Amino acid sequence: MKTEIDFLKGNRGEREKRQKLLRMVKTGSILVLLVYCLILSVFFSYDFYIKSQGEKIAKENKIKKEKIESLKEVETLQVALKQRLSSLGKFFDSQKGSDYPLLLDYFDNLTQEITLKTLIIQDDGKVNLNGGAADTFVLERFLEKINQEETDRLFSGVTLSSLDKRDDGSYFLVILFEAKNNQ
Amino acid sequence: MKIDNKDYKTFLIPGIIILLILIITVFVLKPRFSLTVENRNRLLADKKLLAGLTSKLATLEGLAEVEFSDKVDVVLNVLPSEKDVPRNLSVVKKIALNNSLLVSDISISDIGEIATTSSKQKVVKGSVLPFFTLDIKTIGSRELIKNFIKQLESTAPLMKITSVSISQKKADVTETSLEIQAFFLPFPKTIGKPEQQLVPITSEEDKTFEKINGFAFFTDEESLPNLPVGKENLFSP
Repeated sequence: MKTEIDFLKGNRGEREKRQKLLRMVKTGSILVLLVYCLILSVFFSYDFYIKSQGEKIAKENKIKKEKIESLKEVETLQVALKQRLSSLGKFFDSQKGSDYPLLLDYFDNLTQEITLKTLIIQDDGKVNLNGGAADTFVLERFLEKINQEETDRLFSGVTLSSLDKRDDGSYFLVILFEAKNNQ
Repeated sequence: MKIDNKDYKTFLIPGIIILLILIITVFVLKPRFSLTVENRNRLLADKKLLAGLTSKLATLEGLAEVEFSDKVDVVLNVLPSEKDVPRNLSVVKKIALNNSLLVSDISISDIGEIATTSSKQKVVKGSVLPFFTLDIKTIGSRELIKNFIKQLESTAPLMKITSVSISQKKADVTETSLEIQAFFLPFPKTIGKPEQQLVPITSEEDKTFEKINGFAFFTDEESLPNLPVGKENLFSP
């Protein structure tokens, strides 16, 4: 019976292992290259997509801007209208000035019996009344009128600034009023 | 494990691959990547801009130019863009005339620079709008003065009475001095870029418009009669 003795058995095993490793390295590197190529292609496709989308959107933006430019007149009207309405709104909101017709009504009623010399109504609500009363009774009735409820409703303060009796028995008076709306 | 020269040849391909990958990554991919990121950011910004422009365009197309034009006319009548002294004087005189008041004196102050440089007009502290002041003296009853004030404050252009001084010279003669502020507002210098969003008119501003739409207007401006002056053709007999 013929028996073969394999003297390279150990070397062969080692060589096979090495070859297997080398094959794996080679195959692995090719795989890495393939994956890298795949990543590259995905990246460049994405880059291309972004570029083409960017161009498309830039073009659309340009068209829209041109259309907006062509509607400049409407935009100008809108901006002017907005500016003015906004300013007018603020103006009306800030108006706390005197209600002249109302105050004039009040003083018309108040000064029916006395002689009005001057009546100055300021926008800040300060009112200066200079007048004359023919006698004590007129003066009394006038001062009573001032004490009415309407005065309290309209004014926060009423000050008799001066009262002079003249030789003929008449009175000259100066009264300062402070309207409520301006507080 | 022994590796001989023959095996190094086997490492050549993976080596070249790695080198290739490194070279491509460093010299091509890396610069390209930052460019792509930049492009992507720009694309996002452009998309946002496109959305804004589309919305603005839709708004502008939806606005009726005629209606807007009418509204602007009303607003400009109430709040002129320049100091229109003759118009204010004309309106004051007309209202006085309507109320049978005699205007005995008119003076103008705080006028500053007119027309061309009016946009530089400073707004006085405490006032929302720039103005100039008219001081007028009228003769007429207090009842007429009340009507005059009511009418003046609801007539275009926008005016406001800041002081009323009544003096009784004689029993039947009442002289009233009125200090009137006449307002104006220059146009905005720019209307902005196309990409700037249009600020819509709010409901509050609509209410303000309704308020000023109720103002009275004097349309029949006084003008000099257009009479023929001299010969049309100097060479005609």
